[in-house]
Amino acid sequence: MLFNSYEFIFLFLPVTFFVYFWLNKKRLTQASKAWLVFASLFFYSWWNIIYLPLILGSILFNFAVGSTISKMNIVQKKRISPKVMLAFGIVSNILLLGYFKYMDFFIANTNMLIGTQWDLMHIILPLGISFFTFTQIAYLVDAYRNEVKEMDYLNYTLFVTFFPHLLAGPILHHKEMMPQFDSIKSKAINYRNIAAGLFLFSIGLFKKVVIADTFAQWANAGFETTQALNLIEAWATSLSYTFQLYFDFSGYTDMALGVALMFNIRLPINFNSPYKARNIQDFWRRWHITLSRFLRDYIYIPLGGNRNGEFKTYANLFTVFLVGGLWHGASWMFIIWGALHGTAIVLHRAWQQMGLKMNSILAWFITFNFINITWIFFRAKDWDAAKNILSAMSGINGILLPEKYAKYFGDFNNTLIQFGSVYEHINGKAQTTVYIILGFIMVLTLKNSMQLWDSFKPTRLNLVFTIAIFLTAVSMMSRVSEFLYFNF
Amino acid sequence: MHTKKWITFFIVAALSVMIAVSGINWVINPYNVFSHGLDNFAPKKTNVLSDRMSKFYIAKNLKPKTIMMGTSRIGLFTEAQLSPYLEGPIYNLSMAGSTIDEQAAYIQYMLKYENIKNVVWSLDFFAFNPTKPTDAAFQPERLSETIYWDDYLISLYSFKTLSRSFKTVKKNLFSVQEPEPMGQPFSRDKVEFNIAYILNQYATDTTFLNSKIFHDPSSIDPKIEVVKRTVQLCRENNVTCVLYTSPVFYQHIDMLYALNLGATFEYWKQELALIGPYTDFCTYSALSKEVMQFRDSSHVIGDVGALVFARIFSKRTPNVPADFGIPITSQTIQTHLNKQRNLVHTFSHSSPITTIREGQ
Repeated sequence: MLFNSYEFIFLFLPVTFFVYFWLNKKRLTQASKAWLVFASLFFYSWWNIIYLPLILGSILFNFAVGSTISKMNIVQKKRISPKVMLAFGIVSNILLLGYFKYMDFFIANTNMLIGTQWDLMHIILPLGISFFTFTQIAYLVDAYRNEVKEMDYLNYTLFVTFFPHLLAGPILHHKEMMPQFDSIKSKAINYRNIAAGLFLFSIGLFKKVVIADTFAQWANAGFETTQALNLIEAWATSLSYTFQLYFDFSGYTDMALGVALMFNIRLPINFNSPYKARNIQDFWRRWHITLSRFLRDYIYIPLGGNRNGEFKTYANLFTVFLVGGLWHGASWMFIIWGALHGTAIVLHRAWQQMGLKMNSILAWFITFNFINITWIFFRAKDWDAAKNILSAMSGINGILLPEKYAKYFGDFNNTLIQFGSVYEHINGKAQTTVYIILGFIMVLTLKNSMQLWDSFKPTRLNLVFTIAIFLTAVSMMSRVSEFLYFNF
Repeated sequence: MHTKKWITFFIVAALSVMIAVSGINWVINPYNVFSHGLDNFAPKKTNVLSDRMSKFYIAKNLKPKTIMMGTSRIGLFTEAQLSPYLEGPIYNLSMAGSTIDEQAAYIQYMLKYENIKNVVWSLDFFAFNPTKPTDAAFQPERLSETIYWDDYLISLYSFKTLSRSFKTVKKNLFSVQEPEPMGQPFSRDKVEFNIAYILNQYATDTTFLNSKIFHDPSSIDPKIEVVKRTVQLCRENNVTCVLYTSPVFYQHIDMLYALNLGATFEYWKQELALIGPYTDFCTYSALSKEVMQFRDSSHVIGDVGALVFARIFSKRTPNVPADFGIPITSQTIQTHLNKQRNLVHTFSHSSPITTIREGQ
């Protein structure tokens, strides 16, 4: 089920909310948690019930392995070491993810490399598998580190399946979630949380339905016609995707945080104005924060972090970003994207080590353009498509300006510059430029939703603002589109 | 402001606006989705979202006995032109730019859910092109579900729909001048320009209009199969399915041969003859050379509809040129194709206007 759907907003959410708090009011706290689990699984199965046994099996397996590891940590004499059990758990999770997400990629590359003729399996990616697998791997590692204090199956299932985060994160940590499910405070209706939740949810819905989906039409058209793009179209395509991705994913996260807050659950923040970043490290502290945290805690640090000299640190950083790229999908384009970011982070660290400084505006300019250009690899269907857009962005395909500028630059016609319909290939219009400028203004000058949440007060102004953006977004919901991160 | 009051205001205000907007849109019904009859004060719906959506609901609500199906070619003809020959209500359910699959899907829906008696199906050669993309506005789900909620939701709560509701009322109550409809006559210069422009587009396009795949006659087999299956379904449901090919300007046929599409074009006619008898208007005739009977190289003017239906349904057709509309069966198709092939002119797409003028 999508957050930006009528069935979610007007049926699922109100019913789940009222039944949950009614059960809590009757002091049926276990039943209320069971209800949330049931509602979350219903939410998960809405599209395709076929993968319900998969997620349930995965939860049962990981809980069993996690509990066993925790018990092993207590028992002095053990037949199998906790480390072996942990390795078994992690390998099983990776195999599951590998089968569903990477099998066809593996087969296609094997066929290409050694000439085999294996048929592709065309496996449909179960929704949210990358998210619930990573969440549970973290749980197993923490069990091994003896950091898991609670062993309640219902709480664990709720922690993994809680519907606001199930499909596209944030990637949760059991330590920050499981105590909240047991907190007495979370059992009673909290009007302040509901108001803040409605406020956040409306912002997220507006970001997704009104802003991201508007940029999506130009980004999608541009990435479909990469060969034909002119200079302005290519830049509009890449910038549209840069804005679409941010508003889509951060919009989803705002909605997830808002909905969870209505249930008195605080999810970790995932975005903090990432396009304001002045270096690549800063960007990764602001973009998909919970993924960065996972990669740091469960890959970078176990690899040795920065403890084994500069060269090993660079290698670890690069590896982390390669894994991050591959996590997003089974494609060489994601690996290239990860490698580019890995290289950038290594260069940034080397720059820092040398004690060099840079003007902050220039630093922002370089960082933003690097991110914008690397998103092209992230979005393009293959290398040629990415190359076409980059070529067009460099001006190789020529410069096409709107007819109205012919009177100023007419002398250059047919040599450097041509005149005509500028946004034809991306189904754009004159307002496309205005929207892109507005996109910059929004990401660079306005407060982000987390800052707005921090300062939220139930004032009349906020009421009018929330009603206006909610109604506008719902009014445009008929062009239903999935969230980009559902694919990862 | 007290938080509880804030939440109450939010819910009440949001719901009130949604109910008010939905109510206005429901009554004015700008996309023709509802059939409550309360919108009689604004019957002209000129601000629809897409023809594909609105025409579908008009057809559903009208419960026609006869439907006209095809692309914009039959779209220019009127129900009144057909009414002397077939049982009413008649509805022109044609969809501009539609593929054969889309047209068949609508016919099959009407066969399944509505009590239709006749289908008049205008067949266009380019609707059989396997590389022709389906129009983005076509929603197969609309035809596969008894209630397609998306259409109802977008027709109820949307500010865009509200704005169109107001425009609909304004146009109906204050008679705002409409832009020129498709059926208005063009000047000779305009028609000549249109013919040259369209022929040039077909001839120089390298994508779907003149794709290499289409040069292989067997590439249209799946589309032929769709027609065959739909005609069969009509027979099984005791529905009369009348087939004809749409008239085109003579140079349009010359162009097909010049583009090496002649083999596919002939194969198309041959395979249609195997499905059942039809009337071929897509061939050389006296009318096919009369510039002023056309809007462009593949669209005749709306008035020609009367001649088309007279030729198909009436035995006495004194006003119809004798060679306009040839009845085709599997027995006569080869002779007809040989005759057509002998009439092909040399086509030059580089200067079609000159060629048109020289041809007069």
